[in-house]
Amino acid sequence: MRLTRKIIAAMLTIFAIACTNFVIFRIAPGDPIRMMFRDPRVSAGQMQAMREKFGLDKPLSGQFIAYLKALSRGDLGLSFSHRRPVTQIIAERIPKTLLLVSVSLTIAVIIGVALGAFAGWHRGTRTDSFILTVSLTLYSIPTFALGILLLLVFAYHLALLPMGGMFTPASGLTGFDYVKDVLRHLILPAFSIILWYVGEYVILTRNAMSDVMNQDYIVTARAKGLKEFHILKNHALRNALLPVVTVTGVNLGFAVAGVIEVETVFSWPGAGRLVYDAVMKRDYPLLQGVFLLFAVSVVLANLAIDLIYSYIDPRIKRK
Amino acid sequence: MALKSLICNEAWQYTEMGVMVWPLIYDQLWILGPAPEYKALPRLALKWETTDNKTWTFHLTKDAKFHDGMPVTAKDAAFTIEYLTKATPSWLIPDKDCESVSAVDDYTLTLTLKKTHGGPYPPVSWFPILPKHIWEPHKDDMLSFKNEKALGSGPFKLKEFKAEQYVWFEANKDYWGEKAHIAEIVFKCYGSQDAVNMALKSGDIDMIGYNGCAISAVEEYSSLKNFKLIVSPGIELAWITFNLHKETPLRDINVRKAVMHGIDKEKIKAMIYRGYAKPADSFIYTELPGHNPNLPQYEYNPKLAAKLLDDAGYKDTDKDGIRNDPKTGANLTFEFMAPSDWMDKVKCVALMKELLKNIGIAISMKVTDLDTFYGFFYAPKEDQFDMALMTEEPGPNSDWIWEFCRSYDAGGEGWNGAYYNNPAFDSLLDKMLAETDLKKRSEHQFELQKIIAQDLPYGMLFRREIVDPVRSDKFEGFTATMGGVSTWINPWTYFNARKK
Repeated sequence: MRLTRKIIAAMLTIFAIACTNFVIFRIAPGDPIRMMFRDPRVSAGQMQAMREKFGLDKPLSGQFIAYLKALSRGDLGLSFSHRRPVTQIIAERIPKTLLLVSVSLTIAVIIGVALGAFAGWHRGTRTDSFILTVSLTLYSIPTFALGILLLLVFAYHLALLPMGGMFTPASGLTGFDYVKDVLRHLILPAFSIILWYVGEYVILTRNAMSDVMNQDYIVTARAKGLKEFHILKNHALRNALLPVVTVTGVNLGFAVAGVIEVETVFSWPGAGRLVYDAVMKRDYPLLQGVFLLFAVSVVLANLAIDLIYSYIDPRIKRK
Repeated sequence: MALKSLICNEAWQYTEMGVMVWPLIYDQLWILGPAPEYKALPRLALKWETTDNKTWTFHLTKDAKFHDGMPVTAKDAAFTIEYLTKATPSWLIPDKDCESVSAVDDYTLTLTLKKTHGGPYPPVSWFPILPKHIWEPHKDDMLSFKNEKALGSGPFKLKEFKAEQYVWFEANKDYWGEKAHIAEIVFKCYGSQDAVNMALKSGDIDMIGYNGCAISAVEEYSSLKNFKLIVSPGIELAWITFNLHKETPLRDINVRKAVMHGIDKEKIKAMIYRGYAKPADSFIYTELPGHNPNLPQYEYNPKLAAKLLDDAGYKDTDKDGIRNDPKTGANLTFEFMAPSDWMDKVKCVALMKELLKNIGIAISMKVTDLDTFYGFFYAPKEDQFDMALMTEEPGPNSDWIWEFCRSYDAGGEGWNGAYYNNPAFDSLLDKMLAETDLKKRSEHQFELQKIIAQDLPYGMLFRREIVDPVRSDKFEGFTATMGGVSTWINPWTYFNARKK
C-alpha cells in the first residue's frame, strides 16, 4: 500500500515536471528558429516554413496539447538542432554517460565509505586527519581542473592513457579489442569523477560515523564485549549509511546531467554535452526530453532510496 | 566546433569542421586557388564563359566519377544548384541565385543569374556538387536526408563518421584529377584547447584544424624541433557594430568617431594577441587589389576623442567621471555585446571598456552565448545592444560581405546589424556588383569602403593572425593562405600534404 502510494506520487511528480518543462524553456529569451539558422540570409518566409514544420506557429496552448498527446505515445518530438527524433538522440547518448557514471560512482562509494568509516572509527588520529585533509582537497578541486591535471600527467607526460574520446578514432577495432579500448579511454574521466566523489563520501561517512560513535548503543555493544570490527560493521556503519544512501540516490539521479565538465574535458560523447548544446540552441523538444529523463531518474532514485531505507532501517518499514 | 551529422545543413558552412569536411568529399565547379593570387581554378568545370555576365556556360570534365562509380554530369550540377540552395538557404547568395539552370548536354551547364555578376570570379563559388541519383528522392526535403555515406566525387572518400568525435577519410584512389598524396586523414575533436595542444605535442595529431594554436601556446612550440610554426595573416576581421536603431547618442557620428579614436588597437594587439594581429580599416584585406589605401583612419588619440565629444556637447555635467548626453542629461553609458564563445573578443571588450573610460564613456559588458549573440545582432530593431563586437571571414571573393551595409530597410534586413540606411550606398553597391570592367569595379569598391569608414556604422578594428604549429618532421606540403593552413577557403593542405 505504501509502495503504491509512493509510485502514484512519483508518477504525479513526473507529470508535473513534464508540464513545467514545457513552460520553463519557453520563458528563456531567444527564438529557437532564428537560432536554428545562424545565417542571416535566411528569409522570413523560410523561417516561417520551419516554424510550421516544428509546430511553433501554433499558439502556446496548441503546442502544449500537441506535446502532451505526443508524450502519451512516448514520442518526445523532433530535435530542432539535430533534426532527428529526441528519443533516438537520448538513446545514443545516455548509455555512454551511464557507463561513465555507474563505474565511477560504484568505485567511489566503495572506496569513500570504507575510508570514511575507517577515519570516523579512528577519529582524532593522524590517519583520520590525513584522510580528511586529502578528501577535503579532492572535494574542493573542480572536476574540470582535476581532469586537465590528470590529462597532463597520465596522457601527455607519461603517455600511458589516451587524450580523450570514448575509443581510438579511426582504429577500426571490434569485439574484445574494442571493449579494451573503451576501458582504456574510460580510466581518466572515471578517475576524475571517482576522486571527486571519494572526497564527498569520505567526509559524509566520517561525519555520520562520528555521530553514531557517540550513541548509547555503541557503548552498550562495547560493554557487551563485542569485537570492534563487529561493532563497526553491524552497529555503527549500518546506521551511518543512511545519509550515504540518500546522497548516492541523489547523485545517481543527477549523474546523468552532472558530468558535463568531465565529458567536455575528455570529449566523452555523453549526455552532458548534449544538454549544454540544447540549452544554447533553445532546442525545446530535446530539452524537454532530456529534462524529463533527469526527472524520471531522480524520482526513481528516490523511490529506490525509500526501498533501500526500509532494508537498512527496519523501523521505517514498520511505520 | 564539431560536426553533429552529415546532413547538408548550415553546419557545412558554419562549423569549423563542416567547412573543412565537404570540400574534401565533394568537388566544386571551380575552386579558389591558394595564396597569394587566389585565382579561380578549374575543377569539375574545365572552363567557363559568359557574354553578358548574366548567362554563364560551364564545360565540365568527362572524366569525373562519384565514389560509387557513376559519372558526374551537368545534370548533377544543375540539380544541386536548383535544390541545395532551396534546402539550405545560406547557399543562396547572388552568385547562385538563378533564373534558370539547365544541363545543355551531359557536360555543359548553362545558368542565368537573376542579377549581372561582375568581378574576377565566376559565379557558383564554394559550392559542393552532389550526386543527383542519391539526392533526387530527397530533393524537396534535403535536410531530412541523413547522408550517412556522404558520397561525392572529391579527392577523399568518407570512411567513418562519428558525430562530434571524428571524421575519417581515405584518399579516393580513382579520383579523376590530381590525387591526394596522403592515404588517410582523421579530423578529431577534443574538449579543450589545452587537450588539443597536448594531443599535438604528444603525437596524437599532426596539425591543428581551424584557427591554429592558442597564442599563449606559441612559445612552447618554438622550442620543439619536430614542429614548424607557420604564421599567416588572418582571415577574420573584427569590428564594432554601432546599433543605429536604438535611440542613444551613438546615432551621433561624433560619438562614434570619438569611440574609435578612444580605442588603442596597438594595445589590443599587444595585450590580447601578443603581437599576432594587424589593425584593419576595411572589409577588404589590405593585401588585395580592391583595398582602398586612402581611407580615413581612426588612430588612438584620446585628446581628439575628448575634443570631438566636447565640441558635440557631451560634457561631464554631474562630475561623476562619465560624460552626459546634452539632450537627456543621462550618462554616456553603452551596452557592449560580445559572445562568451569568443574569449579573446570578450577580453578585447574588457580592455576597450577601460580605454573608453578615459574619454568619459562608460561601457557595460553584455556577454551572451553565441547563438543569442547572433540572434540579437541580426535584429538591431529589438534594441538588445548598443555596440557589438562582430567578426566575419570575408575571404578574397568577398562581394557578399557588403550586404552587411546594404540599407536595412531596402534589403539589408537579416545582415545589417547596425541598422544602417543609406540609399546612395545601395545604388553604388549594386553598380559595383554588376560592373564587369575590373578597373571601374575597383573604383566603386574604393568608394564603398570610404562611405563606410566615414559613416561608421561599423568601426573596423583588427585582424588576428593565425599561428599553425605543424609536424614538419613527418609531413611536407602544408599550404598556408590567409587564415592559416586549414580554413573554409583552404583545403589545399589536405590536397598537397605528403609524408616525408
